[in-house]
Amino acid sequence: MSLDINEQYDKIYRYCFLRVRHKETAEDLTQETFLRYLEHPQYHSEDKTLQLLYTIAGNLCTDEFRKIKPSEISETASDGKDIEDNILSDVQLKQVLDSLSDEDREIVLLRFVNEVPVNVIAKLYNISRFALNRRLNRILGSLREHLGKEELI
Amino acid sequence: MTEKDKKRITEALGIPEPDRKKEFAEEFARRSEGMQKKPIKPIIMRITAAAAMLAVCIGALTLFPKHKTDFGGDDDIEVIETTTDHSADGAIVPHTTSSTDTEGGVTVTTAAMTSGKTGTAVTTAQNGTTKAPASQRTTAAKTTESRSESRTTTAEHHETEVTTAEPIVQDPPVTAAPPRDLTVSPDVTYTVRDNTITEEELLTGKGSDGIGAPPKGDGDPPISPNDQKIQHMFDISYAVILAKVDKMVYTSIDRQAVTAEDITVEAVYGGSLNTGDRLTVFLRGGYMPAEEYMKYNRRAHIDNAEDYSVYISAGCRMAQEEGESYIFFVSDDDSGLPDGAFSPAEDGYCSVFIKRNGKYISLAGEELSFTEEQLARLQG
Repeated sequence: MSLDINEQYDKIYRYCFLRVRHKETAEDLTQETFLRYLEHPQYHSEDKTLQLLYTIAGNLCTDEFRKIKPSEISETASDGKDIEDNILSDVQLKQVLDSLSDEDREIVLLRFVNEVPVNVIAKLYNISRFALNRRLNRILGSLREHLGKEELI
Repeated sequence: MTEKDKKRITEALGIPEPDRKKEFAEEFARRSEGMQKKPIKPIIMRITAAAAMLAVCIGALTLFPKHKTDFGGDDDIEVIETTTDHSADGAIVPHTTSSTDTEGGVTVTTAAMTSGKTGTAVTTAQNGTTKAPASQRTTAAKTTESRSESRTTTAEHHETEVTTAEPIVQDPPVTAAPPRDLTVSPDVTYTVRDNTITEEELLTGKGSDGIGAPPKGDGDPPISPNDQKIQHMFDISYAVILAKVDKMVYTSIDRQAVTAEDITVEAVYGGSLNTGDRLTVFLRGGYMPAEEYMKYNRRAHIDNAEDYSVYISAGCRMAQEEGESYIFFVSDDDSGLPDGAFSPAEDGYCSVFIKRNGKYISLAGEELSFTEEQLARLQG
């Protein structure tokens, strides 16, 4: 399957940024993800391609997080918060997203922003599709109030 | 979700735009081309193909079994040679030289042309050790026609008629696998009360905007075929079937309303189910007693809750009905469900289609539909 780099670059970048909370690092990890992707055999299935990309990105983010010394974590995190505070326009929505766990925030990004299929996300987090749907329902319940819509998917 | 919503969430998550995307996209495209495998030269392909063909031919000549006389496809046959004398009226009187038990076997007698007053008849008979009657044989007989035959031999101007013994009973035709009952029953079931209320109405206290309770099968959602999505669903499905909904049972799993549908397969477009199989598909959404719903949703409140059932749409835009036939893209993934249960291949009701105006339309109303021709192409 040929990869649409222009579309997937943004999606993988958002995912990396959410994990590392640092713009430059997120972009480095995104590029590294695509370079490593090239070293793997190409899949014909879109789902498998997406799963491979997100698995590589997730592993790179985990490795990156391990490299950071504990003293730097708070500093890095505060950088991310500064950016967040500057960009945010919807305070209520921010509060709802802040109240979610890190993993739930990632799921929101993957499902609703990056539009990754449910079965791919379920495999990434090693949970069943039903379990994922339950989590999505719970998150949706909170988001609906603030986005003012009934159907988000 | 609209692009605006996505942008709002992205901004709320504090994700800035990337700076180096364009440069990297060019670099990636360049590297992708370099990584592509070079095609094998035609001359090498031809030599390889010729060598492979030669090997196949040699193998076929050396390993192919030598020709043997075929006595009806059964190796368990012995040949009995019988010498016959002419009677006065020219009929052949066989003298069997060895005694065999031909019970339940096949006996074929053919008369050979003879000169003079003697004839030779060759009798092929089933080995005497076979005791089972012919009608109960489990292996298919090579000859499907009746073995009864009549041959006329002319010897010295006398007509000789030799007929074979008992005709073989034709094997019963091979039939399709019998239908299986793969249905499962949920632990808890809910009955639908006279008064129903949609989830949206219950949570907001306002009237439905049309999304909640779906229309009874006559809805007409926008149609926009999406080949890629259908192909994807076909690929990930355990089976694609046309099935009649026999029974719909409302239940809940982990506090979520679920509808268990017992269906009977009417046609199979893909996968290993058989026509006539019965199975249970669990779909999200359905009816739930109001008091049960309020236990898990503290924001919801209604007086006289015990009189109401709450309808949770879970994305279903057109209600299903018992007795109707639908096309299901099912998965055998039963995680979180009773053992042996089936679930939709893709998210909820977008895996269930109903025929409307010559097209199959998804019950999720996600502008998802396909035609008979598209379905035939997918099967191909």
